[in-house]
Amino acid sequence: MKTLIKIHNLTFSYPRYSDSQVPEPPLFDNLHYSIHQGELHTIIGAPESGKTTLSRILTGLVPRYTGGSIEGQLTIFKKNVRELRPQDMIETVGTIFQNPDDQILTTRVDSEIAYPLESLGYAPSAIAERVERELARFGLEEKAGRNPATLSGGEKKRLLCAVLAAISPAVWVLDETLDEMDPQWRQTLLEYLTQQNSTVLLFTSKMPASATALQQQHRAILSQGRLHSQAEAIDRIAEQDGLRLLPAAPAQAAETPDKAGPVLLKAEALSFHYPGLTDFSLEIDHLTLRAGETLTLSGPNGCGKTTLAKLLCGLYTPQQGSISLPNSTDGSAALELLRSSAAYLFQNPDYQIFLPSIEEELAYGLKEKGLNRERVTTLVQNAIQSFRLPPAETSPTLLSYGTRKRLQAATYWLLQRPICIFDETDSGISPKDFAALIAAFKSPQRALLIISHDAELAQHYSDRILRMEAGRLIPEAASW
Amino acid sequence: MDTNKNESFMQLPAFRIATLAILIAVTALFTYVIRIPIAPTRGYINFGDVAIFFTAIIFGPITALITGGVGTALADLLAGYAQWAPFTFLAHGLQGLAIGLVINTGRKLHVTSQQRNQSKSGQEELTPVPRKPGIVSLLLAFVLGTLVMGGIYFLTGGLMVGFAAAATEIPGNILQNVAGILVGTPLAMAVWKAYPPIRYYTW
Amino acid sequence: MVSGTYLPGNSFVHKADPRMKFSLLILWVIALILPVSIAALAAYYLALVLLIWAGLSLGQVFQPLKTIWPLLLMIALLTPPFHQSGRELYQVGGFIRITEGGLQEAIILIVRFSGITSAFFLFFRTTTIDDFILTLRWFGLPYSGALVVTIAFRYIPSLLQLYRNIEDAHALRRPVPEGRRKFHPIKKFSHIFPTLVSVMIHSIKGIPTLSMALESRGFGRHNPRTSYRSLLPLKEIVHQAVLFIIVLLFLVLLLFM
Repeated sequence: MKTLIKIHNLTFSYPRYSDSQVPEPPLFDNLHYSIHQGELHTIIGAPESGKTTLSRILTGLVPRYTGGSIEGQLTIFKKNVRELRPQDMIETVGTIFQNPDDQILTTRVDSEIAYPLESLGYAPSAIAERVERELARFGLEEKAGRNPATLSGGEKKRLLCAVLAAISPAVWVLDETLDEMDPQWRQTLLEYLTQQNSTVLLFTSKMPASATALQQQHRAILSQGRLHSQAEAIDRIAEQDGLRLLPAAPAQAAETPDKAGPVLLKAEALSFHYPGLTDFSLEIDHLTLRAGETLTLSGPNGCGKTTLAKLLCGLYTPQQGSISLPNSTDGSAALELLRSSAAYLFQNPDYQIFLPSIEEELAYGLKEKGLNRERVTTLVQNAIQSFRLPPAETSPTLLSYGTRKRLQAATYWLLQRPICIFDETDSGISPKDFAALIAAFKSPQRALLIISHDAELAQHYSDRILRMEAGRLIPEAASW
Repeated sequence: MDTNKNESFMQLPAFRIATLAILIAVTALFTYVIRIPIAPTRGYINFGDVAIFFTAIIFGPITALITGGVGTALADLLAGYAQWAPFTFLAHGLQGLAIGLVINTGRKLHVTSQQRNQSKSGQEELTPVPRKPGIVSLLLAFVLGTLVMGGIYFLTGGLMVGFAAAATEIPGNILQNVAGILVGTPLAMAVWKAYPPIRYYTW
Repeated sequence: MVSGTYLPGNSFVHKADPRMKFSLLILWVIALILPVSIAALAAYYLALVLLIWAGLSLGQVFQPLKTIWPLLLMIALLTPPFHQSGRELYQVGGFIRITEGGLQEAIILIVRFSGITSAFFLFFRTTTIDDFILTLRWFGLPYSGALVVTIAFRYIPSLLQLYRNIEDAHALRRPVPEGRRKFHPIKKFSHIFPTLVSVMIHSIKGIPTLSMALESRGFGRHNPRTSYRSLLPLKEIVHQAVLFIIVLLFLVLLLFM
C-alpha cells in the first residue's frame, strides 16, 4: 500500500519573543510517522502535547502564520507540504479546527459550506448541489439560512464536517472533532469517511473508551515531541501523561459529607430570565452551599448551569427571589458583596489576563487589600510555587493554555474567597492537572461548585451532584 | 538553530484581511457599546476614537484609515444612524490616516536621529519595532486628528443640518479625541507590553 | 445588533432590487441637499413618507424622527439667530433677530435632514446587509473589501459577547468599593481599562487564527472565485426599471419647481 503521508525527522519550535519567556525544548523532536492511503489513524495526546500544531503543520498553516523554526520532511502524495501554500492544498488535505468558532467565516450556514467551493471556482449550480447534499447528510437542512452563531456546539462541529465533505479532500485532519460529539453523528461521520476511502488523522485528548475496531486499528500517542505506536508504549505514556483519571482523589470526597460546615450561601425562590428573551427561564426553589463541601452542577448544554452560577456570584440579578450570605444584614445580599465572596473561574482563562508579567497579574487583587510590598511578594512567590508557574517576570499571554489556566486559578486562590466556582475548568487540561487545581482549593472553610459535562469526574470530586435541565434543578442524587 | 519569527506573514493577503476585519469589528464595538458617562446629565462619550488611536499607533496609518472609517460607519449602520455613515466613514477614516502618519513620521525621525548617534556601534534591528510615540508626536497627532475629524463632521454635517446646529457637535468631538488619545495611547502601550507578537504586526 | 435595523417583510419595497433602491437612495439624498425650493423639498419628503407608509406602516414614518429630534430642535433654535435675511419678525433679548429668511432656512434644514434620515431608514429597513454588500460589489467594490466587511459582521456579535464576559471576569476580581456608588468617571475608567486591554489582546490573538481559517478554506488561490449567491441579472428585473424611471423623472422634475 502506498505511503500517502510521510513525516520524517520533523523538528519544530515556536518562536520566542523576548527574554521574559521561558526557553522550552522543541515541540517536535525528530518525529517520524507514516500513513497509508485509506487508513484511519487515531493520535492521542495530552493537552499541549502538540496535536493542534501538528494538524496545522500538516495543512501548511504552521509555521506560515506563527513563525518558528522547522526542520525535516513532510510529504503528502509525494508533494512537499513545506513548500506549498495551504489554499492550494485544500483538495488534498482538509482540517477541522478544535474550536469551531475559530474556523467559521460567514453569517449563514449555507454560505459557510459554499465558501470553499467558491474559492475552488465551482459553478453556482454545482455549489448549490453540494451544499444541499451535505446539509442533508449532517442534519442541517432546517438551519440552512441560520447564522452559525445560533447553532449549538455540536451543530457547529457538524457544520464544519459538512464543509469538509463538500470540499471532499483526500486526507481529513480532525483536531479533537469526535470528542464531545453525539455518538450518532460520530458514526455518521466515520461511515462517510470509510465509504469515501478517505485517509483520516483523528486527534484526541481522551483514551478512546468505546473505540470502534476501526479506531483501534492504527493508534499512536504524541508525547514529548514524538509519536509512539506500540500498544504498551501507548498505555505506559497515557498513564504517565495523566490521560487516565486518577482514582486517588475520592479519598477526600469520602471524608467530607459528615463534615459539611455552616451555610455559606443560600438561594431561595430564584426566578430569572434574560431581559428581552423569553424562551429561557431559570427557576430554583432552594439551593445552599455549605463550607467544606464540593457540589457538581451538571446537565446538557443550555440548561442554565452557567446562568445559575453567574446569579450566585452576583453577575446577574434575579427578577425574583433572594441570595443571601451569612453577613448580609437584610434579606438579600448586595451584588457587590456577592461578587467579592465568589471566585469564578471562567472556562476561558484569557478573559482577565491583561498585565505584562505573572507577578503583576497575581499581585493585582492583593494591592488593594492594603498589604505591604514584602507581604505581597511572599504571597506571589507562594502562589507561583503551589501552582507550578514559570518565573514571575514571564509574560502571561505567551504561556501555554494549561499554564494560563493555572495562572487564573492562582489569582483567585490568592484572593481567598469562600465560594469557588469552576466553569468547565476540566476541559483542555489533563485529569491530573484538574485534580491538582481542585485539591489546592478544597478547604473546610470553602464551598466548591464544579460545572462539568464529565459525569465520571463529578463522581470523583463531589459530595453532591445536582443535575439541571431547562433551567430547573432535578432533585438531588447524592453520591456516597 | 535560530528561531525566526517569520514576520513575512504580515505581507500575506489573508493576514491583512483578517487584521482589517477584526480591527473593524473592534472599532465598531468600541464605538457602539463602550462608553462612559462624563456628566451626571446623561452625557456620554464613546470609545471609537480610542480604538482609532490604538490602531494608528500599533498598526499604522493605512490600517487606521480603513478600520477607523469602516468600523465607525458600521457602528452607525447597526445603531440606526445610517444617515451619518458616509460622513462618519470619511471623518474617522481620514482621522485615522492623519494620526497614523504623524506618529509614523515621528518614529522615523526618531530612528534616523538614533542611527546618526549609533553609526559606529553596529547595532542592527531586524524590523523597525514600533516605539512608544513621543509626547510631541502624540500632541501633534491629537491636534491634527481632531481638526480632520471635527472639520469633516462640521462641513458634511453642515450640509445636512446647517452649520449652526453642526457647530454644537464640536465640543463633543474634541472631547472624544481627548478620550481617544488619553485612553488609546496607554491602551496601545499596555497591549504592546503584554502581548509581544503584536510588535511585528505593523504595515 | 447583528442584523442592524433590517426587518423582514413582503412589501414591494422589500422586494425591489437592492441596486435600484441604492441608486434611488443616493439620488434622493442629492436632491434633498441641492438648493431647491421649499415646496420641492416638501414634496421629496412627502414621497418618502408615502413610501414608508406603503412599505412598512404609518407608525414607522415617525421612527426616524424619534432618533433625531434633539438635532431638529437644535436646528430650530440655532439657525434663525445666525441666518438673517428678509423681513424681521421678532426680536429676542435685544440682539437676537428672528427673520423670515431665518425661519425659512430652519424649515429647509429640518425638512432636508428629516428626509435624508428617512431615506436611509427606509433603505436599511428593507434591505439585508448581505444584499447591501452585494450591491456595493456590483457597483465596483472589490471582493476583498466585501470579504473584510462580511467577516467584520461575523465577528461583531462574538466580540460583544466576549466584552460582556471579560467585563464580568474583571468585575469579580475587583475588590469591593466602599460606600455608595458615586458618579466617578475616573474610577469607571480605571475599571474599564483592564477590560479593554483584555479585549484587545484577545481580539488580536485571533488574527493569525482567522488567517489560517481563511486559507484553509481556499482564500487566495490563483483561480477566479465564483459566487454562490448573487443579485438577479439585469434582464430579469426589467419591469423594475420602469418604476425606476418613473421615480427618477419625479425627482428630476421637482428640481425645477
